[in-house]
Amino acid sequence: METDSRKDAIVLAGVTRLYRSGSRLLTARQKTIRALDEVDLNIPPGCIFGLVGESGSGKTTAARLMVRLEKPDSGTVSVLGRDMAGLHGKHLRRFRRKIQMIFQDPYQSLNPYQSVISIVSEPLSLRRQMTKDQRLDKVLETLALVGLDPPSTYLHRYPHQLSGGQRQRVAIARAMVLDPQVLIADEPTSMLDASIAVQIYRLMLKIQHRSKVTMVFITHNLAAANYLCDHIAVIYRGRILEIGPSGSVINSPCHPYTQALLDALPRFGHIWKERRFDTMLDEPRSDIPQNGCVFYSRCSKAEYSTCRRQPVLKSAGRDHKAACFLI
Amino acid sequence: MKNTEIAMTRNRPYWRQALDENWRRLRRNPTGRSGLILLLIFALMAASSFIPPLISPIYNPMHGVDPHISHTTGPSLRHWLGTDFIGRDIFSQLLAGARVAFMVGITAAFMSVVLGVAIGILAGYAGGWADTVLMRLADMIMVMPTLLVVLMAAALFGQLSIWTIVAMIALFRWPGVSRVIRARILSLKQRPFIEAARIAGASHLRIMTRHLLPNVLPLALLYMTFRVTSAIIIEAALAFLGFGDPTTVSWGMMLQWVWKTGHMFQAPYWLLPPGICISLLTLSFYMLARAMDEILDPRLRRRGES
Repeated sequence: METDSRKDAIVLAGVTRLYRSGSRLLTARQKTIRALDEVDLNIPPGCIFGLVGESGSGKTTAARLMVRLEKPDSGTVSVLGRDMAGLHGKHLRRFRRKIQMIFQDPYQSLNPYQSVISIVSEPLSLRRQMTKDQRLDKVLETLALVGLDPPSTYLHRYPHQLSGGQRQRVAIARAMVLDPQVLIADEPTSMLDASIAVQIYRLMLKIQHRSKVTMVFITHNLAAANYLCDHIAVIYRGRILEIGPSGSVINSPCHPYTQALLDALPRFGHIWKERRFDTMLDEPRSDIPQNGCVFYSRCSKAEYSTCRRQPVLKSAGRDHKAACFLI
Repeated sequence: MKNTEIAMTRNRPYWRQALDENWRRLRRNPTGRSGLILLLIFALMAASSFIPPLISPIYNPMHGVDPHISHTTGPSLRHWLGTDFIGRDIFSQLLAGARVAFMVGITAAFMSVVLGVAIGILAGYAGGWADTVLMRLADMIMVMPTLLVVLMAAALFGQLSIWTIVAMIALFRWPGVSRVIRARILSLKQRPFIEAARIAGASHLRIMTRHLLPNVLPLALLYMTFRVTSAIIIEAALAFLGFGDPTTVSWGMMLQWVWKTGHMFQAPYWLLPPGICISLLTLSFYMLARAMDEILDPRLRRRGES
């Protein structure tokens, strides 16, 4: 993706985020976990961008950095051309309306003491630019958009009176009511049944189609990413291993880790041509080099002599890059 | 449907539903029900405390002296529980004492819980040095024995009015509340709905008052009930030791009069009623609080109960 970085909706430049685990007076050793390690990422506007990785790979950390729930330890996060680190107080609150987020767990992301109308209209009432009637119109319109129909019957319900899918729709409505330019969805379906998840995917496609919002879709499911996304980045232990247009990444994966993720997808019948890469080792290697490839310990193709260094992203096709020595 | 009509067809708010349901559970809980019944009796006593002085000025609990009696007498038709050492009616004193106990207990508990909740939310939400400073302050106050501090204040500044005593109890009893509230806030503030509010552009003040406060209110109510008990006991002890407000009739004050005039073993009709009342009223608030605790904490709920 060689695009002008100023036009990109979200730019991560050399972003590192460390988590330090409890160093107290008496526990001498401090453990540092690199949630994100020198990540560069450009997300073009108006597309659905998939960030795929297993748990602990740093994908949620990336999302939290983009909405500035956290700050990077080094590097810069710019959204819509603004460096998020430079925003404080009122400016931050104002800017945040353009970047909204949907959380993983719809049972935790809605305040149990707020009704649907108060949840969805809260972002609007903070803006103080609309009359009460205008706000109500906007809330009803947004509820209809997310498929809570008829919207007026949901207004005065409370989260505990809604199903998981309905709650997630309310959460999407809360995010969309401000007409944001960027929407970050952090595994929005991981707590939902598969059939509900498909409905949510369709809803997100519909919303993106209608509002042209830049969407970052974070998931551990390559199939879902393939269904939704225009571009996919595969992340593992805080490093981006493969990035490219989703068709290209899914049909011709270059990185052994992406291949392993595709192997891991359940197959029923033969929708796709049967293909296996067998790149994932059952037993992790023990001779892990310092600062080597992060996937070395589980990669069946790796050789110590080549993989002991850190691979950089190399071109592997049109707009398609992978960080592996084997391509 | 027009918008105005939609706004009209509202459900009952969640807190109302929760309150109704918990109230039902409370009445079904045996401890809670006994506590409520006892409390109701005392509330009736407090409410009827203004009746005796209306019947005749000799029933005024503070100034009403029966002209025919100049010493303590036992129960009679004219004075149901007898009279004290200058001929004041003990029964009307008992009623007035109930009113004072409620007043002291509830206002002191309310003030200390308001203070404790505010400080707890602030400390838990702000974190960092604000949390450290506020919690160290709480620790320091928590280890001070309230009764002793108020006694010393009374010794230093002379007689304290009942409202000064209430304020001092509130001032020294908030740390326990704020510790509990802070702990709850620490877990609540990690919940995504708080982060969602931040992303929506809510200010810290709004998050604290609109999102965190409603979620800790049930807990605050529980602690208020526990605090009522301790406030009543502290006030009674203070009055019994002779440092109460001499212008109000409280049960502790009545006990002090019994003791000071040397009737501890001569006038059981005078000694026992205020003593029993203090025990029963604190017991009823305590039982109520225990039952609320059981309802609010599902782990304490016995099996088979919904």
